[in-house]
Amino acid sequence: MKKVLCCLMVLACVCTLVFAQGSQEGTSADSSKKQVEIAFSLKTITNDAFQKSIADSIQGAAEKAGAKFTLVTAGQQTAVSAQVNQVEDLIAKHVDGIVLSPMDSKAVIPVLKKAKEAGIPVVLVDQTIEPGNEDLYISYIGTDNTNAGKVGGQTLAKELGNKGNVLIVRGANGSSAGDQRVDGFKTGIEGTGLKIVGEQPGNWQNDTAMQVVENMLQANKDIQGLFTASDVMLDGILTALENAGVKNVKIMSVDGSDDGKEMIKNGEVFGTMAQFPDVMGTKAVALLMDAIGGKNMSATPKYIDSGTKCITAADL
Amino acid sequence: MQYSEGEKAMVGGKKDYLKFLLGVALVVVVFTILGTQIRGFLSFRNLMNVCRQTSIIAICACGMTMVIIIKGIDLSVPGVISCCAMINGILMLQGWPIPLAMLVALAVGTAMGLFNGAMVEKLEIPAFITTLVMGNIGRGLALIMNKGDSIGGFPSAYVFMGNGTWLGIPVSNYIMVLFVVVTSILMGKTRLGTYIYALGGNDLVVKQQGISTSLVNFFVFGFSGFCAAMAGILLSAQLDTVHPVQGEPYLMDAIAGCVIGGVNMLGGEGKAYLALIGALIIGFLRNILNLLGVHPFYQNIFVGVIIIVIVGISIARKNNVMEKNKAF
Amino acid sequence: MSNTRTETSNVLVRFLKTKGSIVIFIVFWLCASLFVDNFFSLDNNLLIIKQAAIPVICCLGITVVLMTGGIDLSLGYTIGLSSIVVGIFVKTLHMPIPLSILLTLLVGLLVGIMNGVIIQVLKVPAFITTLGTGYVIYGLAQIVSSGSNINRLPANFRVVGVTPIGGLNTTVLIALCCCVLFYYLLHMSTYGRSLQAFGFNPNAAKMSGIDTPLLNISVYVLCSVCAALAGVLLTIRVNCAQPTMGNDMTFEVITSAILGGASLFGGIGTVIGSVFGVLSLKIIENCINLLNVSYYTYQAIQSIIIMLAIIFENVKNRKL
Repeated sequence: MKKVLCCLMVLACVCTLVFAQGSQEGTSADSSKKQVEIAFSLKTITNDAFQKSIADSIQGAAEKAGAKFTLVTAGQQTAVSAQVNQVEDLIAKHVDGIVLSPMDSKAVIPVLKKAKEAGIPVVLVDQTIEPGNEDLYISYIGTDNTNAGKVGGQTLAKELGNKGNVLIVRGANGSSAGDQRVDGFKTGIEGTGLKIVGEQPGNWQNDTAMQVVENMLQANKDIQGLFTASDVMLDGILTALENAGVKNVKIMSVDGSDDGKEMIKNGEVFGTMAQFPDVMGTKAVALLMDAIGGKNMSATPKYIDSGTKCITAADL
Repeated sequence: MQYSEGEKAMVGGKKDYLKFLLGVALVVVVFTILGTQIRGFLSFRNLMNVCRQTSIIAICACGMTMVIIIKGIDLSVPGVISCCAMINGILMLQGWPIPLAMLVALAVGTAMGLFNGAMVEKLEIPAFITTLVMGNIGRGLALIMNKGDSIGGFPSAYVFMGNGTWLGIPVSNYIMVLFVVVTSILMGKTRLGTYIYALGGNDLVVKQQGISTSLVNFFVFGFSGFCAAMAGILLSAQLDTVHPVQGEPYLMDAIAGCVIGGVNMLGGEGKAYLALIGALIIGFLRNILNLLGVHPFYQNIFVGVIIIVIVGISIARKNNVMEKNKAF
Repeated sequence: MSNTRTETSNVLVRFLKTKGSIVIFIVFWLCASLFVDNFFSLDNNLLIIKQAAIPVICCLGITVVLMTGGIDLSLGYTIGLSSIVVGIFVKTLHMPIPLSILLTLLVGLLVGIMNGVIIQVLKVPAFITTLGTGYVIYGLAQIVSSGSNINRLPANFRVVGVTPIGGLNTTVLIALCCCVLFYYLLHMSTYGRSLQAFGFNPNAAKMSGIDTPLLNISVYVLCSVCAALAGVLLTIRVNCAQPTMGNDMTFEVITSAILGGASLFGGIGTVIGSVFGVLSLKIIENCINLLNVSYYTYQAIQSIIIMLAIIFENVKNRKL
């Protein structure tokens, strides 16, 4: 009985492996026509529409260019070292180009040095690495998160008539993108009459965001504005506000996801700082294909702003 | 497997050695097959890399082996990794000499471990919950120390420890082997080692023999804290960064590595070098999945199934032997 | 005269010994009411009960598992899987609500059977089994969802969980029903006694005629069904189906159960204890948010408070 179950499990393993192999893009065993392979390494695409859009756009652009696309995700918020390990494995695998969204601005530097030694071109998207290491990548294409937060703050302040109480729902601890957006927001509302009466981390999760907003509202129901570091937490935040019966709160968010835009159209959310993941993806692949093709990339600007746009109901 | 009367008597002797050889042969075969199928797998660079990545898990597993043997568990590993690495990092950035900074961080890790031991020994609080909460405290401290930010830009000597090579082999691997050797000697060749195994077998007997259980508890948990602190220091050397929550993924991998390596979760059984092999299996498994380009969603399923299967098989074999050797 | 005094103190001692979690809860509640602004209001207290409802359901499930000396690390991932599954049934496939919920609970049942069978039949330790199945379930949730969330769930679905009743809502009512059910199971039927016997000494339990394999599997089934129910209710609560929903809840409810007096070695666990364990934890979180404690200090503070509570619980148990 036990043996049978064990055998069934081994069979399940083998099937999964075969099936999973088949889920790769492109053909794997065809070594005669060497297909260019581009890999994208990031934190996760689960529960993150924005990161998923970047991945989708890279995949689309890569396949259009005739390259094979490989996706590696590190997993949760905390898997910083897993990403480094995965990039090392990509180097060992001799991929032709790497698009990287670093989970930590410093942790990936040693492995990028190894990529450079191995001659694999790297393009950064969405998040960058510590200044002083520009030789390790062709270009960084991304939203200026600090600026996005700042513009969001300024826009919200103007909408609220330069006064009012504001809550902040942060991302997860240790996320530089989230931190930059919030810091930017605080800069943006500096000097205005806006007052931050509550600031707690939502951990990029709806249930956590909902709970912290519910509790913050207990301390202070007199809220006019709210800033959240990402659209992904909006569902929980809106439900919390609704449950507490707090109305007319102007919410400013970041990402510009389809869900976010929908909520703006419905009037539930005031605005979102849209990012342009498709620009990031297509540009990144274009740069990589040039580099793989042997073009000299030294003239490429080190930072390419993929753009931020404040989207409010007026724009939709 | 049917055991004859004579074979039963050989359990522990020639049979074990044959099984070991068989295991080695199996590994060679599997590696060869994988090497032909996967580009880049058998390259020296890749093999050394995987060992280097796995060294963190392996060092944690050294301490974890001891803890599991005395029927405990140490869930504070991620918190200690993050906290001690952060202490080490901050001190180094403030100009402290590297060995001194490391010493302080190791001391803190050991102290946290000793605290765990105290709770388990003196207050009889189960190791699960005390180490779980201790780990959270450690993680919290790591967040506080630098206001949630990561720090980096460490002296090159330190980074060399994580990324440099000596005679072509990464320095991390030497450190990993050192830890495993030391742990094995402690467990196998010292009086303390026998006490540890004894405590894992039957603590009543241990007390009757006059062996101080508090000594064993304190030592084991303290050593586990020490290992976790070293793992944290090494990890930050590899990344040239201390990320406040960098330790999280290592807990489950360390435990899985131990169990796959034959450490018995019910206590009393296990060897450090086998835990090393278990850790390497986990490391290579992830490496293979990455090299194959298996979609991340499927990787999780695969890792989960493999863990259960390997442990299931080893338990089934053990049960088989036990049942055949039963008197009735 | 002195007899009644010793009798009273005996009763008190017994009460304190077995209901330490209530003591902890009262201490927390008093401190919070006295020292934390905005805590002591009907609104806030009702809020805490509402926030505790779903973790209570999971905590009941994990308590019975702990009573057998086992553990279920796949709990949080089961919540995520059921969240996205119910979301797909309800929104993408437009299936009738009762059927969707039932099928989702069925998924939980299957997960529980899988866990129970591997633990009982293959004899793989619970820690390793549920660690492995947790990974598998997480992977399944990701595949099924393709990594995306589903939001804007139909109103007639949300009604199940968020219809207000008094100052509370239907989710709290459902949690209460679970409490009653578990109370009956654990304290008023032979099931509970069998669980205790099994937890203290599995072999003795087997030899006294208890069907231990079935018992062992049943607790994992109960736990996973609770997790599935929690997934459905959580999805309704935040109005969004997420594959990663509730992943952090595993250790939260284990800690709550321990605070509530359950023993990791098996044999001990109560419904009341677990409920108050969850409430105590939720009070801490509520206060941290009310006080607007800095985002990077709250983890340490919360953990230290929990550590103190556990030390208190253990010291009290030994002194008495």
